[in-house]
Order: sequence, then C-alpha cells, then structure tokens
Amino acid sequence: MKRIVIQTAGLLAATTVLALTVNAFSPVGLSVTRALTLRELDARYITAEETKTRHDAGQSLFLDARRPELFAKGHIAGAQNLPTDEFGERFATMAGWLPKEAELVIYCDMKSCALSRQLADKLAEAGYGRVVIFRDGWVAWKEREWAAE
Amino acid sequence: MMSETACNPKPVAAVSDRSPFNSSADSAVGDRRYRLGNISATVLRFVLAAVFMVAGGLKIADPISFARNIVDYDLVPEAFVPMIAVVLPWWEVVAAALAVAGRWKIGALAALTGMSGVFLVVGGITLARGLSVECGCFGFLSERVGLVSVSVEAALLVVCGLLLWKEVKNES
Repeated sequence: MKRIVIQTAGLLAATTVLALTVNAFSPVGLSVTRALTLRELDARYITAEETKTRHDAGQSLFLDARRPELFAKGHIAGAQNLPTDEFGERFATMAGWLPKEAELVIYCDMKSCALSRQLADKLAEAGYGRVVIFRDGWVAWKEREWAAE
Repeated sequence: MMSETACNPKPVAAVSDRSPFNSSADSAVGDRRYRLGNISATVLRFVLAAVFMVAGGLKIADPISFARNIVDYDLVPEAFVPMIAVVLPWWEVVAAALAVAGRWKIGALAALTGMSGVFLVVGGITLARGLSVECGCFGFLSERVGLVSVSVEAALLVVCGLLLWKEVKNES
C-alpha cells in the first residue's frame, strides 16, 4: 500500500512539473496564477452590464437557447426562443426574419450551461458573424430584476 | 544410534502433490488460464492507455476549451481552473504511457483509477444537478454529460480497478 502511494504521488508530482514547464513555453499555454477572464474563456462572452446596455439600445436580437417550457416560465423581455436541441426544426422558420447582419445575443440558464455556446456555434456555421453570449444567463438577469416577460 | 531416516527424514509430499486430481493435464490448463488472463490484462491495459492518451492529448492541444468545460461544471473556484486544465491532461497521458511501458505500472494504474473515480463522481453530480454541460472528456469532441458518458466513466473505473488489483496481486 505504501509503495502504491509513493509511486502514485511521485508520478503525479513529476508530471505536474512537466505540465507547468511545457505550459510556460506553449503557444496555447494558460496563466495558472489567476482565474481566466470572461474574454479569455470565450471571446464571445459578454458581462451582465454589457448585455443590459445592448438590451436598452434595442439594436440586438436576443435568443434564448433553453427548452420551450423553461422559456415560458420566464425570459428576457423581447427575447425569442431558439432551443439548441431543436435548432434544425426551429431555425428553418426563424431564418427568414433573422438577418445575417444582426447582432445576436444568446443566453441560457446560467454560467454552467453549454447550450448558449452550442447555439452560438450553430449560428456561426449558418453564417451569422455577429454573435455574442451572455454567459451568466437568465438567472443573473432575473437576480438584477431587469426587464423580463 | 539414531537411524539416518530419523535425522534426515524425507520431506512429506504436499497434499496437492498426492491429490489424484493433480495431473499434468490440470497443470497445463492452469498454465493456459494464467497466460490467457495475463494476455487479456495486457490487451486491456493497452486499450485503456490508448483511451486516456487520446483524451489527455486532445485537452493538452486545446486547454482553453477544457478550462471552459471545467468552469461550466461549477464545482471548483475559477482561480483553480487554469491549473487543473493544464495539469490534469498531462496526468492522463503520462500515467497511460507508464501503464503500458511497464515502469511504475502500479502507480500509473492507481493514478488512472483515481482519476476515473473523480470523473465518475463529477459526472454523477452534474447529472443529478440537471446541468447541460459538455463532458470535456475528449476535448472539443466531447458530448454533453448524460447517462452514456457517466456509464463510460463507470466502465473505465471498473477496468482500471481490475487491472490495478491484478497488478498488486501479481507482485505480492
């Protein structure tokens, strides 16, 4: 048992040193001494305040990536529902009035929701070049008691 | 005067040697089973190593995607995310390499077993919380966490654990 622990700990410690050394010289290396900023995590991410500014300006189209039943319970005022899991069927009907040059603000429930990113990827593949993601999502918007429906 | 046999008694044959069932045929079957067992364990070790090397390699190539996945899980403070995103994939690759190279095999298998256990727990918690999170297991190729991904993680844990147990048994 002691031998297993020593071997495992030694292996992990040596590998940690190797990993950090390679990371320091790698072109895709990360800074390990601090949290990554929103933009570093994904260049499309915007903060709650930036989202509010866009909402107030009324120039961007808001798309809710969640399931319809969650959208019905509450969503950002003026947002349209484009569930990521129903993209194929829903996008066909929405594409007609969703101009390619429009800025699209995508959101889902909260930080730990990959649906908004997946929807943003699908829209980018469909030719939408101005897509941003409100990462903190509906939960953060509701907490701030901003305009909702 | 004591007899020679009293001073130098012939060793008593072991019970198994005297058993009418311990023929040379039984020994051959036992040897064959032992070899098959070892061959199966070796094949499994190589397959397991391949899985972890691919998983780790994809994450090493794109650490920012893996960092995003870790953030999405919302289980560790964001300050720790870059360190985990950088170090964990290397643990996977090096442990996998050592598991097949034969050096520090036990430590490597123990590391892989430990990591598999952690992945299973994280996947289970995420599933229970109902989050729509990408697994991150295979970098950008990863699918969302669900029953399939959690089942795969459970299977990996069982395989790692069995190989570790076999290795410990062989060496003891």
